[in-house]
Parts: sequence; C-alpha cells; structure tokens
Amino acid sequence: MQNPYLPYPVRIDEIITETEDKNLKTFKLVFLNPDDEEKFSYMPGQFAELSVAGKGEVPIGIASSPTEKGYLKFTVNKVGLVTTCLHSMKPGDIIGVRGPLGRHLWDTLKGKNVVIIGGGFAFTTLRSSIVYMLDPLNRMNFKDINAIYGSRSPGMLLYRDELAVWETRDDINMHITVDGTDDPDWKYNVGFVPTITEQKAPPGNSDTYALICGPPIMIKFTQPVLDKLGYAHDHIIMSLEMRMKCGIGICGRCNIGKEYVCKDGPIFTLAELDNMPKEY
Amino acid sequence: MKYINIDKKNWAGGLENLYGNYRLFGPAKNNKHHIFKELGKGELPDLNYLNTLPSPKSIAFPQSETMFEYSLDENKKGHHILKEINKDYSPRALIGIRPCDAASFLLVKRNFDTPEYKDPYWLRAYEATIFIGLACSSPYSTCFCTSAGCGPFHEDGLDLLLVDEGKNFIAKILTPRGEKFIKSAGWETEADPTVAEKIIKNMKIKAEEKIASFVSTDQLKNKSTTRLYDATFWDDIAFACINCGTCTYVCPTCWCFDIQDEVSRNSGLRMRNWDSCMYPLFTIHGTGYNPRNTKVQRVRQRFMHKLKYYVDRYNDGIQCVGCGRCIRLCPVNIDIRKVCDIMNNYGSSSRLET
Amino acid sequence: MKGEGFEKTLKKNDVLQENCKICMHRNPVIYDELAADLLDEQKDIDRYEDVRKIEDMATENKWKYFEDLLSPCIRCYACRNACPLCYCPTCFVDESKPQWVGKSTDPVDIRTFHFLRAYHCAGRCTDCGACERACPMGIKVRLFTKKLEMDCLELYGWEAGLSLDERPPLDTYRPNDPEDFIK
Repeated sequence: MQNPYLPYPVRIDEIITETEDKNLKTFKLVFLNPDDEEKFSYMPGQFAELSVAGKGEVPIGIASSPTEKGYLKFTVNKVGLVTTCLHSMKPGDIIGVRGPLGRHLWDTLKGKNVVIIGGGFAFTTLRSSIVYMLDPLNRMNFKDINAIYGSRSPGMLLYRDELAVWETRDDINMHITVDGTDDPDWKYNVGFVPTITEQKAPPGNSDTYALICGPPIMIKFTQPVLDKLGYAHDHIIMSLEMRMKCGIGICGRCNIGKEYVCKDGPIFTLAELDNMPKEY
Repeated sequence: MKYINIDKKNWAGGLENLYGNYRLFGPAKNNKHHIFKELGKGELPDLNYLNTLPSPKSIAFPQSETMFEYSLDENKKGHHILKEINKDYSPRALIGIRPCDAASFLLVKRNFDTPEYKDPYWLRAYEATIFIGLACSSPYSTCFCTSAGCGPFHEDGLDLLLVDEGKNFIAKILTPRGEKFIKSAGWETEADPTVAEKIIKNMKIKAEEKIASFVSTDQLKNKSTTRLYDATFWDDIAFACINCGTCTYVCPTCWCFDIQDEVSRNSGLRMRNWDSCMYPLFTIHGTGYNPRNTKVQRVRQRFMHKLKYYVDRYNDGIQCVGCGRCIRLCPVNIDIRKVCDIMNNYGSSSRLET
Repeated sequence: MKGEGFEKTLKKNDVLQENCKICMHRNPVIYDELAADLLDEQKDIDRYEDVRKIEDMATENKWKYFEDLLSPCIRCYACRNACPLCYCPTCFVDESKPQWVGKSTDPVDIRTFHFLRAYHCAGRCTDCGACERACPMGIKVRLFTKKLEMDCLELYGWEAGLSLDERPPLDTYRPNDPEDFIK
C-alpha cells in the first residue's frame, strides 16, 4: 500500500529572494531519487506539502510548470513555524515534498481565451499556468491569453525578469501594475488590479475564462468588475486558502460544505463557491 | 446462516485457544466506566456493560499515532528523510463491540479508504481486525441507533454477532472470517438455525422497543446547504457550548486529526493526533486569520458536517450511529437529537425557522 | 427518583458533588439582593483529608497514584474550558511559537498540562468543581487544585474568592512570605 503521507526527499538547489521586503523566497528543489520526479506528475494550479523534518508541513502552490524539467519551484511567504524555518535554510539542505495535491481545470480551459488576474504573492500558481500555456507545445491549445498582475510596489512583484520578457511577447498580453510608485522609470501601469482589469480585460463570453488569485480584498473588488464585463460565474476560477494538514481530503481540517478544499479544490469556480458556505 | 451455541462454561477456554492467533481486545472496567483494552493471557472481556465510555475507534485510529521517524543528525546517512515504521498489524479481534460502534467503522471507512487515496494506518489496522459484536439488550436512554441507520442487533460491519441468552451465547456467523474465528476457538456446537433465528428475532424486537428516542433525518438531503448554514438557530444551539471537544473525542464517527512533529535531541517523529473542529486552532491560518473564529461557527461546523455535508457528499445516511455518547458526556447537555430535528424541520414550519 | 420500573429515594449527601459536600462558604460572599435566608455554614469539615492522604504516600506510590489518576485523560481540555478562572487569550497548551507542550498522549505532556493548570489557578481557585463536573472521563482533577488551595491557606492564610480588595498571594510579595523552600 502506497503511503500518501510520505514525502519525496528533495534537496534545496537554489534560493532566490524575490521581494524587497525579503519575506518571499523561491526555493528550487531537486528530487534525491530521480524516479520520484516522474511520480510527481503535476499540472499548474496544484499544490504540494513541503515537509521540514522536525517542524512539520506546509501547503504551498507549485510555482514551476510541468514543462520545466529537472526541478520544482515554490515561492514561500514567511508566516508561521515551517515557513520561518524554510527561510533560514540554505542550498544543499534536505526537505520533503508531498504531492501533487488538489485538482486542476485544464480540460475546461483547452481551446479557450484565458485571462489571468493575480495580486501580491498569490501569483505563484499563475506563473506556473503562464509558463505552461506559453510553452511551444501547448500555446496552440489556447486562444488569447491576457494576464493582469499587480502588487503594492515594483519591489514587491514576483518573477520580475520573467514579467519583463512576457511584456515584450506578442502571444500574451501582459499588464503589470503597481498600487503606486515614485520610480520615474516605471513604464508599466499604476492602479489597483480591479481598475486595470476593467480597462484591459476582454469582455466575458462562453469562450473566455478568468483565473483569479490574490488577497481577499483584491478578489472582493475584482469580482464586480468581472460581473460588469459579462463573465458568468462558472467562467471565473478562483483558489481558496485554508489551513490544511493531510492534503488528501482525510484529516477533515479544510472542510467547507461537502467539499474538502485540499482534494476537491483548492480551485473552484465562482459558481461552485456560490453554493458553498462562505467560511473561508 | 450458521449459528453456534457457546456454553458460557466454554467461553474462557475458547478465548484461551484464540490467544496467540489473535490479539484480543475487549471491554474492561477502568475506574467507574468501561474502555476497550488489549486483553492479556487469561484475561476475560467484561461483557456485563452497556457501552464503553470512549468509543472503540482507537483500535484503528489511536488518539496519538506515530507515522514516520527521522534523524536530524547530519552525520547520519539519510538524515532529514522521513522513514516508515514497522507496526504490528497481526490479526486482532474486537470482542463484544456493540453493533452501533461496529457500524461506525463502515461509516468512517468512507473517509480513510477513498478511490484516490488510502490511509495506510487506518486501513491496515481495520483489515487486521475481526469484529465480534455483542447484541445490545439494554440501551441507554440516550441511544437512538434505530433511527440513525443501525440498531441494537444490527449486523453490518460485524463478522460475528453474539447474543447473550443467559447460560450461553448464540453466535451468528456473518462472514468467513467469523467462521474461522469460531473454529480457532473450538466452539463447535451448532444451533438449530430455525430455533436460533426465532430467539434472536424475539430478543431483537424487545431490544428495539427499548430504544426510546429517535431522530428524523428524511428532509436533511433536500435542505439548501447555504440556508441551513445561514439559519439563526445556531446561536441558541451553541449558547451553552464550552468548546471542549468532548463530543468529537468520544464520537465513534469523528475522524479529524492533526499532524505534528516531535523532536527529542536529534531524533524526530511525525505523528498524528486526534483533533477537533471545536477548537479554534483547528482552522487558524499562519497569519492569525481564522475563518471559524467563533464558537457558533465551530458548533455549526460539527453538526453541519455530521448531518448535512456528509449527507450531501455520500448520499447514504448521516455521519452518526446513534450511540448517544456525545449526549451523555457533554458537560452542558447539548443534544444532537434536538439539533438534528431542528435541522430536519428547518423551513417547514414558521416556528422553527426563526 | 422515579423511572421505568423503579423508584428510589436518595440521600442528598450521597449525590451531592464532592466540592459541595465540603463547601465552607454556602452563603454568597457578595450580593445585591438575597433571594433566600442565609444558611448556617458547615462546621467540623475536613476539607483536605484526601490531599493529606496523598501527601502521606511514599514517593513511588504518589507517582503511581498520579499516573493512574491521569491515565484516562483524553486532553479535550473540558476542565480548562469549564473553569471560570481561565482568561488567557491563548492558553499555553495552544501556543505554537514557541510550542510549550507536545500534542500527543505522551504522559509527560498530559501531566504538564494538568500540573500547570493547577498552578495557574493557585490562590484563585474557589473549588467550584466545574472542572471535575465537566471531565468526560471522570478524572478527579480537583485533587490538584485542592492541594494548592490548601498550601495557600496554610502558607499565606489565604482563601480565594472572599475579597475584592485583596490581591491573591501569588500575585503579591510580602517581606514575611514563607521562604523556607529556598535551601
């Protein structure tokens, strides 16, 4: 019997400090046993439990894309016990990865226009999605791709180098924005994500899906904008955050309504969320 | 169906024969109440009991269970890598379990044995266990098994049902595992099936008549989840609750757990411990934000999970077998029977709706 | 008491809670209105007979006694949650940074909880009995709090809950506080 609680051992290969407040670091992880990489077959939007021996586990969205071989990437915000310990680790240290966990909706998105809306440090699985869709082998499976990504300031944007490259490409309409900046050389948008969405996002129709991930306040104000643009609730895809332990729908912690967020989500359409208690 | 007569004079001898082939677990008196415990050689289960105070769920789901071990010593090979632990999953027999508690194992199995994931700890322990039921002839006043999907002579989840007839037990063999168990004990006197069936039927009717309380669950499926969730009656239900979690710990069908690392010097364990939706820590985020921050929310979660979310997810009964432990042991007398009726009737009369 | 097929008369003292049986303050200490007449207080009550019995035990017996006493504990914290003295925003057993106590059923962690809870209530516990009443496993948790109640009385002449104006003994320092425990 396979033990779904047993993490794959991985080595920290590289640690990148992403933001100016140094609270977000990206960990590039390499499987100790090369066979495990094949077993860990994932899609963008899924997450994994990062396991630190002696501290515990923490559920983190996968920031790398399955098209990127040989490693996994996770961008981790320093918040609690496990993430604080992760932030103090160095390349070469051994941790564990358990997953992939959660569902994805890529069957639904095939052949559609995709609008990505992200805010702050919740851009990790959206980065995975963009890299996945822009891969030469996948790009023809999607129509127009728009991406709106905002943060408080330029220094708080994740993956800045990649964002700049995406801005120059013609197979994705990238809209980077910040709440405000005093940088005279800032050449992108200034304004909150809902405002930029209203200006830049294409109107909703049966062929267009919006993927939103961000802080609750951003989601709260973006949702009316999408309603106004004509997005049906089953065309708005969101991700929930809950305290989790097992990640496989057994320990009961992330239960909302009849769903276990870890296994039946964490990605839900807004239409699905409309029928669930608002307890998240 | 095969029936065996076990003369009580041969009871101890049979158990003696079983000892060694099975790890035997049975009810035993501890303080003023009964618990399930592993029986030593020559130790007999105390079957003169109504039910154990804690449920026997710990046979497959101990309150604390080690999952993995690891070393933090960087000089050791494989340090920081979690390793599985060998555990004793040799055959074990749960002797004298009440039918309601046996039924709870089937219900909990839905959670631990899913198409996508199998919980190896629970499942291996469950598969190693043979369930020897003891029909229930004198229920508590808080029992409501007959309207919670089982009953005092219920057979689902059992390998063998023992019916106490005074001088002897009638053993109804329900599975091949049960038959093997009887054979290893050396109890061979077959009972006339027609007679045995008749005796059991009569006792069953009498026992069921003694169950004095009921819940109605027929409307739960039809209710809107969000309307039940938003109902105002939760404030009243939760008013007296002290959020102690006793109800969840003694419940045979509560399965939630926490995973924790414990380290002593350089060696560590990852373990799981029972947890409870009654506790604020259960859902608190690392940031301090808690989506279930108030007592009312947590009380609602427990009842909604058992009586609505479970119903919606599996479409097969409620997540409760009617053992009544939570009612008997609640320090403030919160009664799941009342809550169930309020939920079941919600919206069908104006009085209950408000 | 009547039920199906039985009738029984019980003596009040047989069914009274343990703490009520030995209660020395049956009259309210403060009140705006009194709903009934004041009662005679109980006299000639030995409140600490059970505590002294434990104190007189040899060390290993004492240890065994506490081990047995706490063995049924399921760490539901009903005793804590029922206690009128608990006011901490986060209980020490629920802290995660740092985590003071393990979460498993390790006897050391279970003892730590019970001992610390008792010490935390020392000089404040009025022996209302809510903890013992709430315990689903029937553990006599008052034995811990009573020991500290007795110490407070014997060392400081203090009984909790009688005055609003005086600070409890473990909350204050007086130059003549007993200090012979310092060796």
